[in-house]
Amino acid sequence: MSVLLALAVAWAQDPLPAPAPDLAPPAPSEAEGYCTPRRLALVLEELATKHPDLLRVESLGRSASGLEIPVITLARLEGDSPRSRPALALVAALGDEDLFGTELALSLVRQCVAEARREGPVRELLGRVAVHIVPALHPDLRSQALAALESGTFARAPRRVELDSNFPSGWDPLAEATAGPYPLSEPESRALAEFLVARTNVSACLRLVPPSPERFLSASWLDADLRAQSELWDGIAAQDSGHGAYAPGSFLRFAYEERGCFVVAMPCVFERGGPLALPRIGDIPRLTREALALVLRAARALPTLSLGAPVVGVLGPSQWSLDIEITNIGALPTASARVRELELLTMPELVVHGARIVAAASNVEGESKSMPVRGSKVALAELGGGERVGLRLFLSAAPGADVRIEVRSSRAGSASVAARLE
Amino acid sequence: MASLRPFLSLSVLALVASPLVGQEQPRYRTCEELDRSLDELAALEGARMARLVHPLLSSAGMVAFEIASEGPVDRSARPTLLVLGGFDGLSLSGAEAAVACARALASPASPLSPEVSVVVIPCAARAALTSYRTQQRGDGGDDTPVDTDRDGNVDEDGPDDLDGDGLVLSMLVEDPAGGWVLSDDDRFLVPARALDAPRLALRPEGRDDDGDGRYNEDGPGGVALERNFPLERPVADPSAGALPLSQPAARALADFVLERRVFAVLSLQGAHGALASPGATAAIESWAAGDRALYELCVREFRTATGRAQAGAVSRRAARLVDQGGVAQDWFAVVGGALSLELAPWGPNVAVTARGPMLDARFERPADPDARPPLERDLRWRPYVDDVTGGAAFVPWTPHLIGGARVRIGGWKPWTIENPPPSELARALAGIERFALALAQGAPRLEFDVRAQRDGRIATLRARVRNVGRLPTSLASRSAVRAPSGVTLELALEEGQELLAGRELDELPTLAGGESSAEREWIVLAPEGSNLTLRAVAPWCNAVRVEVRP
Repeated sequence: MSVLLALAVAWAQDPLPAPAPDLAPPAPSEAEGYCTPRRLALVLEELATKHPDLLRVESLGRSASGLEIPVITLARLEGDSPRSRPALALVAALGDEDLFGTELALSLVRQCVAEARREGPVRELLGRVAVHIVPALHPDLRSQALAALESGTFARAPRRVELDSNFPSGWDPLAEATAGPYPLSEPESRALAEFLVARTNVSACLRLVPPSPERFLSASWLDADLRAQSELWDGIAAQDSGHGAYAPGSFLRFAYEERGCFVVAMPCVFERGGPLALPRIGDIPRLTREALALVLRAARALPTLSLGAPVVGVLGPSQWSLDIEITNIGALPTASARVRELELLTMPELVVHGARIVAAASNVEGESKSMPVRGSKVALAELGGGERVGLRLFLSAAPGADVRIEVRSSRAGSASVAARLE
Repeated sequence: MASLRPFLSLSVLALVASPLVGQEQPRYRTCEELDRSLDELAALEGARMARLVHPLLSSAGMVAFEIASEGPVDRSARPTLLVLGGFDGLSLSGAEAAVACARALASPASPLSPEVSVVVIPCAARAALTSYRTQQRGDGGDDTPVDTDRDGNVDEDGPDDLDGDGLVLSMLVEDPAGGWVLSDDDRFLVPARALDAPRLALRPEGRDDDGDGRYNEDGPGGVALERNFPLERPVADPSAGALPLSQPAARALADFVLERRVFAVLSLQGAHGALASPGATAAIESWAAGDRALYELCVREFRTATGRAQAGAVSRRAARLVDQGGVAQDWFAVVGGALSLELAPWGPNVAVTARGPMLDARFERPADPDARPPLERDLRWRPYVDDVTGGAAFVPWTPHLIGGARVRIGGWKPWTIENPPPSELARALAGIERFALALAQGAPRLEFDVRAQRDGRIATLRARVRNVGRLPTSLASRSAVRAPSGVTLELALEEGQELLAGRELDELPTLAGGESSAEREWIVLAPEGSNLTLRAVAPWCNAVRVEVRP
């Protein structure tokens, strides 16, 4: 373990640790360079201390043996809370097949932070979205597997419960022996599910997995969502190489079917070797580049509401019209069709502060249509990726009143603009 | 399967059956009163009942009582009958029935076997039952705030007593998107067909408190514990919980069933008056079909104990006339591996015992294709409302105008179909405690039938395992997440003994009540004077051990 730990420490400081020149290299172990949960916690603590403006580390919960399960939030931590921003979640190391996901996630975090330190697209992106990363969902398994690999005693054996069969969607106790006595019977899967239920702003979930012959998307998913996903993950889904996204009881199936999130399992291609088929630690930087590209693409695609400049017209002494455009600047819709089917979340709404809304109308393809107004709010329809809608508000307020128009959605964040009624 | 025979004296228990004996004014007791009545019983000298202090249940706020006779096996390790009162959050009569069972089983007069333990949770859905009793209505939800209509607000539009009659009943709202129309019996509704008008939406009585154009769509509470279980859980239904077993009480109960050797769960709830086997959905009904003989046996026992005329086994979906996913009863069977039964104290067959179900002649012959007879559930209850209550159990739909909308208010009164009127409670509970005792007494029990002989150092052992109980040693229906459910037979070799033929560890199939296994044979090289030891265990049985000296 000491060799493992020493290398882990070295690697934690540099993704490509140089071999010690004066020492004979120890016999290579498949686990070389992989870090234990304890080491992971230290590294994350150090990162959070060094970059408090970009990175926050919290606890998702505890494993069965009591180990902390960390969740990292990457976002520029200024102004609004990351909880109100569009967000995605990357979950790594659910089982021994994706144990390498921890190293990849950690490396990805480092690169993201490094990019976000300077002005540029990554910094800008982290100003409007939040990226949650769970680097090691199953720390107990990680501890056991790495220790067994190092001692040469590792053997892949069926476990009592596989985390990725223990989520509710398609959970099948009649057919799956490792599904667990009930969905979320394991503290790790329950913690992740509860996280996703609580974070209604998360609209995409990602995993990093080894290539698999299984099909990625389930044919039973809603067409509109399949289309949106295919476009988003262009070049990934087409390879038909996702990892069991629709497998009974899998995390990604749960994320889509019960939480309406868009999902992707990104295949990480590497040379396999050893009982766990882990990539060599030297392959991690290359894999990180690919994973980072995916994560950034997903983050950019997250639905995000934006408001155009308001145009005020006078209708009477204290009555006004206000035209405004609302745009979803993300490539993904403000909510999936599955969210709408389940009626999981509140619809987007527009709120006016500083004036009373008398009526509201939408303008779609030149046709004006009355919209329901409730108090100071107008209920909006969900917007597709890149969709723009025009809205005309009929307001009542004293001349010269300053109003603020705010649009908000569970998964597409919020935006606001100010106008003066004159 | 063993033949039917009454295996307890029914008269013995009649004395302790009714919880209402000696009360002047029948009424439903609060959960605290029910617990207190059992605490008082437990405090009596020589009582074999005590509050069960179990970390899982206690931490979830569940009050449980354990009843067990003195015996050699620790009570927590014995096959356990779990009795749940009102786990649906509606059946106050189920909670009363659970207390009646506890009183009967704890009585020194009852022949409770020292082989089993009985755990009774009188108010298994405490918050929901308390709310139901106070409000005289409910939906089975606990006190967890739920955003039922997903508008970002919680519990903002609940029912009201609009017409000031002191009751919150149902309300029909004329709505082109409504799913109902009145049936030929204009008290009852049937699903609307194309071109039907006026179409009606069925809501609880009350105003549109939040002004969203919908009536009473997000009232107080909650998650229904009994529907917070995993199998085929309805994802889109907020009352089933955001996640399976999201409610601490539901999870505690699930973990308790997994931890203990629970061979049977008797859920006292529902308003169909029957004993229902697992299968709240078609898939689980089909899965449970492999144990039909067992459920038929239970129905025969149910008939004997209660005097109710149930012809044969019925699944829960058939008894309730509706499919429900995510129910506890099905999970107890599929994953818990228990004989899981729902017994409804109240139901139309109980309410109208004297005359039996009556159907109006015009509805027996629906020759007219335009005829719209009421739904089956309403047909079953109609004799009760007409013949027993003279129509008083149902408030006719009466027009009202609220905020410009035309509505009709009416429906079933409280204490009619979900729970019996308090005056009828004793009749609804009659015999249920006898059935519970029959279940406890029917627990399977293993015995050995062994023959051994020796020729020098070679010993030959032949043995059968017999189930001398009434119930089988496990369910026949299997699931992947449970351990093998047959009878495990082990020859425990001592030092110096060597197995020459036969299996040291053998899996025998499930044994029905009274059934013997096929004979197994072992040849053992054993020093003279040494003993041979056999052990057997099955999911619903205590382990048994026999030592023989050939």
